[in-house]
Amino acid sequence: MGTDLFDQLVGELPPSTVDVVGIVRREKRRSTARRVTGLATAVAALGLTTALGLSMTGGTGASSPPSVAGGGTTAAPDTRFALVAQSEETAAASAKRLAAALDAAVRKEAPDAKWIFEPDGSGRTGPDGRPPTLSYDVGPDGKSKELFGGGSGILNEGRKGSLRLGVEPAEGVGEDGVRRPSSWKCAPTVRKCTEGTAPSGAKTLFLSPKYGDVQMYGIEVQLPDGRSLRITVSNNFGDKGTGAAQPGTPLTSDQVKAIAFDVAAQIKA
Amino acid sequence: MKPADEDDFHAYVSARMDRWRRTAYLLCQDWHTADDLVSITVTKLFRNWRKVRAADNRDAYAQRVLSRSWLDESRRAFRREWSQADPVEVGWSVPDRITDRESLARLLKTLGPRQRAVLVLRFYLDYSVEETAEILHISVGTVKSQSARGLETLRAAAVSFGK
Repeated sequence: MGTDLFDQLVGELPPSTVDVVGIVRREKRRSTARRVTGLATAVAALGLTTALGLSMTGGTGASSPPSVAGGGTTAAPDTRFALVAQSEETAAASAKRLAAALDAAVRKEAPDAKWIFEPDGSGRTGPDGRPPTLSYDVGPDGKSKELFGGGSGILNEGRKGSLRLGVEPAEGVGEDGVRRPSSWKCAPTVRKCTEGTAPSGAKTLFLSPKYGDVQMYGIEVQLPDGRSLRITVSNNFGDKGTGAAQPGTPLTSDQVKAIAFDVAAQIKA
Repeated sequence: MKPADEDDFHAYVSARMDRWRRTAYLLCQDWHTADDLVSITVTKLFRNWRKVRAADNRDAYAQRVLSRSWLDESRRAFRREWSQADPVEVGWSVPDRITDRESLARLLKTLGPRQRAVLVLRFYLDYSVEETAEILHISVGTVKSQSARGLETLRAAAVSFGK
């Protein structure tokens, strides 16, 4: 039914850029590298365990002097966290901390904002009042691309819309073997894009396109490990195309930027 | 992977390459992104080739990987989405009958990624409601509701094309 019409839409296939031979070659190299890395890690762990054992039993080497309790000033605790997803457990833990950082940033920058259930919104959302539950990507072979994403509906000062968070791979060739366009420069085809810098010095891209009634504000912030954190807010409530555009975005562009900077500041390499 | 398995993989992939590229293009309507999606799919299939070979229906497995890669990408790649050279113009509404490729292209652009995937799986690849639900990891009810409007317009298209 309608298949011919679909085929007409596709038209003539252009030459393929899918390099199957290259993908297979790359995957074989990765597989070999993983085996070598695993062996090296095991050897290093063995060495560390041995050294630690010697130190704890008063073996060779000078021991460091004992610390003086209560002396000097206490450094502020480092609440930052790394985004890791080498297993289901670490990925879930990272996603949870990232969601908590997002929730804290929203509460700080937009104290009156409330998370609301978003019908047909992508990802896991709702019920009302619950921060988004972020999804994560643990690679099929246990090697993760360490990507996270999700979002929720958001209501602020009577304006309803959606907020999305995503962590994208570092620029260049992604873990999936696909080359991505170089980041941190506004591509000529991207409308309403501004290159900038976060208070931390990280590179940023800010985008504010408008399609019809739908206004979006989005910012990408470079993370310490080269990946990017993306926060987008729009007045489109629900999945694209099925949602109804609201009169205004629930958050201002400045709030979106501040939220992204706050979350990014919590992430370490 | 043994050489024989690798030969099997290459044969399988090359036999389905055009179909995957067509499907990916219908999902994103951009050949660069379509080929990226297929590359991701090929990579994932290679990594899991043993599981793919053991699957009851390899093609459904591959389609699942492709469709979910599309949904993942559409959630992440907002910049690419925003850079569409030809966004749907303001005020365009779905006509009663889709009679040409431009109208179909516009129709697909008005839909969210998941709804677009439902349409392509149901009406281009002829998967059943249950198969589509399984591939996209959504409920049968969601497939039915999301394809209702598309079904209506594509039925009109089928009539127009004398099918």
